[in-house]
Amino acid sequence: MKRFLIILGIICLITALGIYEMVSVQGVMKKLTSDIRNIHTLVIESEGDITHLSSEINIVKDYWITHEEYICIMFNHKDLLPITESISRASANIENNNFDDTIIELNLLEEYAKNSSHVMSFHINNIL
Amino acid sequence: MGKRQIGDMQPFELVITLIIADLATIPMSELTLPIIQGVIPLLTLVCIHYFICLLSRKSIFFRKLFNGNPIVLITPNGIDYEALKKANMNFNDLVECLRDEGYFQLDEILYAILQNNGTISVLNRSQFNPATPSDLKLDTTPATLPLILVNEGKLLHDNLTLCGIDKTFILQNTKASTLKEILFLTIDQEGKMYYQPYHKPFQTIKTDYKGAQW
Repeated sequence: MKRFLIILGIICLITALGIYEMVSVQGVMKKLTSDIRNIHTLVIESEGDITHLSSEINIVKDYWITHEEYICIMFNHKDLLPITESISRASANIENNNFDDTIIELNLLEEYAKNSSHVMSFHINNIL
Repeated sequence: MGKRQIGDMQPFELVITLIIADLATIPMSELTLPIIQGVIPLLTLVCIHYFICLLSRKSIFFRKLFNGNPIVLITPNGIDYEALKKANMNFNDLVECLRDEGYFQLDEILYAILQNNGTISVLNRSQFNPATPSDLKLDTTPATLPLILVNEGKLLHDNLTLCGIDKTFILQNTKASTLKEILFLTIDQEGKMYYQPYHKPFQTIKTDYKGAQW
C-alpha cells in the first residue's frame, strides 16, 4: 500500500510538472508572439524611421530574458537560443534603422516562437 | 528491483535497469540539458516497473508474458534436445552451467530447469544426495539462528529487545569493560555467544541465556 501511494505521488508529480510546463510555456509564447506582431505592425506603420521602436523591442527582450530563466528549468538551452539571438538581431536592426532586416527578423522571430510553442508543449505528438 | 543482483533479475527488470543507467548519464554528460529532463524519464520508468510487477503478481497471463516460463532441459529420460534448442543453448553451455552448480556426472541429475533469470536449478537423483541425519535416523539438536547484538561497538537495540537481554548481560559475559572493545557479537537461541573483540582472537562463550524463539 505504501509503495502504491509513493507511485501515485510520483504520477501526480509528473502530471503536475506537465501541466505547469504546458501552462507556463503556452503563456510565455503567446505573449511573445502577440508582442512581436504588435511591433511588426508598428514597424510597417512607421514609414521609414523605426528607431523610436527600440523601447518596444527592449521590453520584449527583458520579458524574454526573465521568462527564459524559468523555461530553462525544463527545456534544453539550445532550443531557446534561436529566439534569444533573433530578438538581439531585431533590436540591433531597429537601432540601426534597418527596415527590411527588421521585418525579416520579426517574421523569423514569430516563426521561432510558434515552433517552440509546438515543440515544447505537453502534447501526445511530442511524446510519441 | 528490490535487493536482487543483476543475475537474479527478470528480463524486463534487466532492460529497465539498463535504460535507467543510460537515461541517468544523459543530463550528466550534456550540460545544456536541464536535470529535470533526466529525472522525469527515470520516474516514469519507476512507475512502469511498478505496474509491470503489479500485473505480474495479479495475473498469470501477464506473468508469463513478461517473465516467460522456465524450461526443463534435463528430465528423468535425459537431455531434452528440443528444450535445449528452444532455450538457444548448446551442449557446451549446458555442461558449463551444470559444472558451475557442482554437477559433473549427468546421470546423477533427475531434473535440470533453466529459470527465467538464466540460472539453472538442478534436482539430483536421491541416491546421489549426501546422507542427512534423518536418513541415518539420528537425533540432532535443533538448529538455531544467531542474532547480531553488537556491530562495530554499537548495540543493535531491536535485536536486544527481541532477545530480552540488556547491555549488562553482554558486558558480564564477554568481560569487556565497554562496548567499544566488542567488534562483533552474536547470540543464538541456545545461549552460545560468538564474541569477536578488536585485535584479539574470537571466543565462543556459553551463557545461561534461555531466551525467546525468534
